[in-house]
Amino acid sequence: MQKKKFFTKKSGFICAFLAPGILLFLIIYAYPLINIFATSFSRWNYKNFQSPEFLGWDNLFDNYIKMFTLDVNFKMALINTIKWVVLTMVIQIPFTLLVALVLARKPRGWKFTRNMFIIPNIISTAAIGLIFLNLYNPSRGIVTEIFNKLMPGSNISVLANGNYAFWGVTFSFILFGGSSCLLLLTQIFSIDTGIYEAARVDGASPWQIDRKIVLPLMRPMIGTVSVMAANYGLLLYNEIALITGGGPDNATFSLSYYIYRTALGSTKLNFARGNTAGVIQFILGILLVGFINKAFRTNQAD
Amino acid sequence: MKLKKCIALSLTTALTASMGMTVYAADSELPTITFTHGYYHDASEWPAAAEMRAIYDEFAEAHKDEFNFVVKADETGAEGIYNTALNDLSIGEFYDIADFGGWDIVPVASASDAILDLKPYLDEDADFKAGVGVCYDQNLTDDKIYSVREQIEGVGFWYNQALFEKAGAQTPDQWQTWEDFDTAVDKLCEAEIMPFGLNAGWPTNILLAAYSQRNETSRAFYLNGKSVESFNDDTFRESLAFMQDKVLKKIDAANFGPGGDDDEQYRTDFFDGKTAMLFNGVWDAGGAADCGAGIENIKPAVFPTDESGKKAALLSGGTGLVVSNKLDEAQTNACIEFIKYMTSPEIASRIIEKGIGMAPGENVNYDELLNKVETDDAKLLVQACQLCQNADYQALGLGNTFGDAEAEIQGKYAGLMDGTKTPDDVIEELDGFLAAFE
Repeated sequence: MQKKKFFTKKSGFICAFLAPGILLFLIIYAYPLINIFATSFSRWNYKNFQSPEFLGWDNLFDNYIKMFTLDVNFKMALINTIKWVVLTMVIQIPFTLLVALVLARKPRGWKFTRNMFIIPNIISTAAIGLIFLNLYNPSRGIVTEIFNKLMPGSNISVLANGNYAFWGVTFSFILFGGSSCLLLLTQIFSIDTGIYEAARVDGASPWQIDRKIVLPLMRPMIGTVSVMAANYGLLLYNEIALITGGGPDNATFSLSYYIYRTALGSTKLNFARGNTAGVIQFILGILLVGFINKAFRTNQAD
Repeated sequence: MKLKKCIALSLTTALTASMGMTVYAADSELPTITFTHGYYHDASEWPAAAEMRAIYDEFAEAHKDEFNFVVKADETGAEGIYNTALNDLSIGEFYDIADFGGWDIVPVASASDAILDLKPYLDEDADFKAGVGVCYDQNLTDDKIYSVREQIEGVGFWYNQALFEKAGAQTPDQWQTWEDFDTAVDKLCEAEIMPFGLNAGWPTNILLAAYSQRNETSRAFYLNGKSVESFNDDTFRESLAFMQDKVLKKIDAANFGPGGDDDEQYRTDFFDGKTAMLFNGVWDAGGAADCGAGIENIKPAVFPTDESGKKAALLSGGTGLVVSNKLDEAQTNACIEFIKYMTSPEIASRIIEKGIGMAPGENVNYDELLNKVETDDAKLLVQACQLCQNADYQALGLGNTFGDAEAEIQGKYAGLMDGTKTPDDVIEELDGFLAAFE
């Protein structure tokens, strides 16, 4: 029996075409990722900017220990990030799904509504940030005015109060599910219309059709948009940098903002600590994607 | 035929390039230094930037027979120059000479042994040393000076004389101690005039830094801010208590913004005549021009202390001009020549006269400048600079003093204002921050 050649002309071509992609992946993703993991076990700041210094086996987890035990800002960032991930799952996804289900019935003006809903997702977060800064402005912002109507003399300065500022940042992104809505709508429109017809003939109400047919068939797509939305909450940065700068009293720190402030937003340039937080963020991301995929069984079709 | 055309075109290009190189070769006999700055703005957008570029170009032109001084504007500004320098440092490189504005590249660049110690050059030339003024002492670390600047942040405050008079309050030029500040604020409040607008940032930091200059003990703690190991200090606790009781609780939430670059409502309100004081630098003389409060009512002032009649101002040089230590002798001398030019009395006068800012030099004749300038806002700027320069105590701003802890401190103002935090809480939290990064 003739032994099968490993390198045939065909496999050579495949390797040649794959090589640039693999090389780019290794340079752009794999190397930085390994670097982040490795330097989280080092001392690396402005004093040894060009050469990170291994902490040694005895002090291997120093950065992690300090971050979890002493660093209040990291703890705040971690808690906030988890809160934002949860909030995207319990507010943004159900809200977006509801909008998609309503629009899928093509009521009067549905195209206009769909386009309006997508607008916040296509304008830059810088512009969104400025819009919300003005909305929350304590002396001329409409939010303060509304509070003053409800509670005369309250003069609430949303972004200058830790509790309100968290919600101020949350509402600057949580309802903007336009992109997810488009994906959900596409999925709904791809369902065979014959199934709807059959259900109607059997006397199913629109609510029953949504509950028993549309939602189960949309499960993989709901899982996908959930991963996207949760990821947005996990990586939240722009809104915070633009609206609160992490304040007041660091009450709106996210993990991404913490990484920036620790590594680059400080003259101490504490890259090691920033990368340690990056590792935590990476692990959280992996867990999150795994959990959502499992919960929605996104890789299984019905 | 096409091939011939291509060859002809290639040869022409090569010939032209070689001619260009010949010209460059003649120039390249002179040392070449590239100076990078962040004044890229169009004159219509920011006239000061055009004036700064003119100052640089005049130097390059005046020395064109001695060296090639290439002036390069970076459109990412001082922040971009700082970020580029970080990238360059990671591969062991650095700008020939660059203006970093307020972005502090010195700690990392000096630790990487990439920048030149300017102290020997300053020590051997008395005029040069006088020209850099407060930068000499402020930037002296471990007997080295890595940066100086041709303009500094001179910070006192501005007040609306008409509102003070309306409230029957003593104007800041008559204040002897901080008690007079308290009395005036109370009178303004009684007259239902908002004493000042603030936010969780810059203007409130100014007031905290200024109050920290009130006596010898508080000044001593503040002076050691860069190496502070604990905020558990009685003078700092008193400063926080002052901020809580005498400052933050005197204003309502509508006059306390969240802070950040875009939060300048406190300025707008002052120039609209809605608040009586504005804590901001001398450069805000420009804001007084054509303002709703009326430029004739706007006056500059510096801060009182608890030592009767003695005044304090904040003068922060920031980083400014930094030179590589990898240049050869001729290039280094050219850079030193440029810094001497930038800190000379002529340029200092020009910087103030053109309303760009305040110069650090001790050799600026403000009386002469006051007669020379014509517009009302330029006169205000000169007066404000003069007050800062003549203050009995001159200290760095909060950021230059406490570094990263500045952001932590300013984060606590909201809690002090709404009473959810006490000065002791703030001190405990700040010490926690220091412990996390020691």
